[in-house]
Amino acid sequence: MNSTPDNDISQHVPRIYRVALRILGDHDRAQDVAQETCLKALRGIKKFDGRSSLSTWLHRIAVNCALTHLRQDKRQAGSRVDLDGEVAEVLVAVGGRPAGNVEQAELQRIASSLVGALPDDCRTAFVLTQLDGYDYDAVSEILNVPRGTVASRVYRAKKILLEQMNAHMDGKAKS
Amino acid sequence: MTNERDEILMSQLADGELASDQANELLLNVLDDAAGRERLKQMLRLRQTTVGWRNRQPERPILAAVDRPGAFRRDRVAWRMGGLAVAACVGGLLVLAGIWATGWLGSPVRPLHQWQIAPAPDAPTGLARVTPEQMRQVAMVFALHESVAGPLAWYAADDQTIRVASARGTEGGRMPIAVLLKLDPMNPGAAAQTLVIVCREQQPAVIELPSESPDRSGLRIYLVPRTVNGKVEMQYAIAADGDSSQAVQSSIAGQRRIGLTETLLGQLALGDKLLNVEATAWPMR
Repeated sequence: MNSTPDNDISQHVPRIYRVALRILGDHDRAQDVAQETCLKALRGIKKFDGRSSLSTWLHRIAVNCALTHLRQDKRQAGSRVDLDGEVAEVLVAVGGRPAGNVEQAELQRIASSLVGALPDDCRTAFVLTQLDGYDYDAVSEILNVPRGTVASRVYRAKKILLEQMNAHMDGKAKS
Repeated sequence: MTNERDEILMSQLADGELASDQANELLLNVLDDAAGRERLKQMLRLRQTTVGWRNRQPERPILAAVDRPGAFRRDRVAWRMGGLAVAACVGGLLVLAGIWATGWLGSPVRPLHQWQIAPAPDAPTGLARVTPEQMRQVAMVFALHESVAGPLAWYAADDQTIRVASARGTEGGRMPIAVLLKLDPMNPGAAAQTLVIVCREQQPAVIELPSESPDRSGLRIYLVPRTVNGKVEMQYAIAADGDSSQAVQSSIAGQRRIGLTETLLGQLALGDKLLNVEATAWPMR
């Protein structure tokens, strides 16, 4: 495939969409934001100085677009759920794909409800890597922290989640 | 018993972020360590819980179209005053076809803002609906242009310009879809402008309509329509240029299902003016 701006940006579309979906919790709005992000990126591609990676730059545009939509939504009469950054609520509201078995679905539900309660730094690293699908290097750029710090934060998030999920499952087994 | 360093490595391994030599070393270490194996299993299971999210794709394709006026103009034809010969030819055909007599389009460069879509009888007040006669006329105009210029990827006409793009490859075999874009100023008394566009199903149409007068902004329009149950589902991005430069002044983008009744696509802010952008669309076969 030719390396043209539209081709390059197209490769990031699914991730842009996921970021927008996570923030907005609405498929149609996420589609609109992804479309708008592409348009803004194409228009501003000359301003992209290459100091950050394309994915980082697109992520910033997508987040800004999604937040603008979110603010617009909040101004409108309460036709939408107020997500207000509650990742767990978004996860539950949008739901995942059908799980392969009951246990998987249960784990997914528990993980979703617990993500929102993670410490901020851990939650951000976890969400970017596990939900949005960025690799550690990209997250390192987005958060402007060393790669090792990303790995550590992701691990801490997982540790907390696993402890809580295990406690939940143990409690369920006893009852 | 695993320590924190090992667990961070396991976390990275589960995320596919560990170099292969480190991964091999870690796996060898946990081979004889039941607790380590269990911990690694948990990390992998946790990773698995979010796989649905990470693989989530847009339900419909997202258009990432680049604005390349230079390349775009090389193989696109714009019929303006300089293209009088072709326009006159088409105009002549229109006369022969009797369309002139209908008083609707008249010539290919007749102001289209005079065209009013009929109010929909069963629609809420303010909405308008395309009539079968208007659909027939758009089909005829498109057919006539194709008879002159050959298969077209798209056709676009406003009140001053007709633009067409020749079809390449199999583009000409795709279903033509008519789209009427109405730019309706919100100022009381200001006249709406209608753009007649015919493009091809699932084929991006990138249309530039430069400003032809100081009181009007140039438009760049990206459309990708497709038909769903007789209606048109259309991805769109419309940008209005500023007065004196190519800088974009305002833009809208999104995806809507559009039929014969006007659907609001969004609003363009042009200085102190606000334009409602509404669309009707239908498949032409």
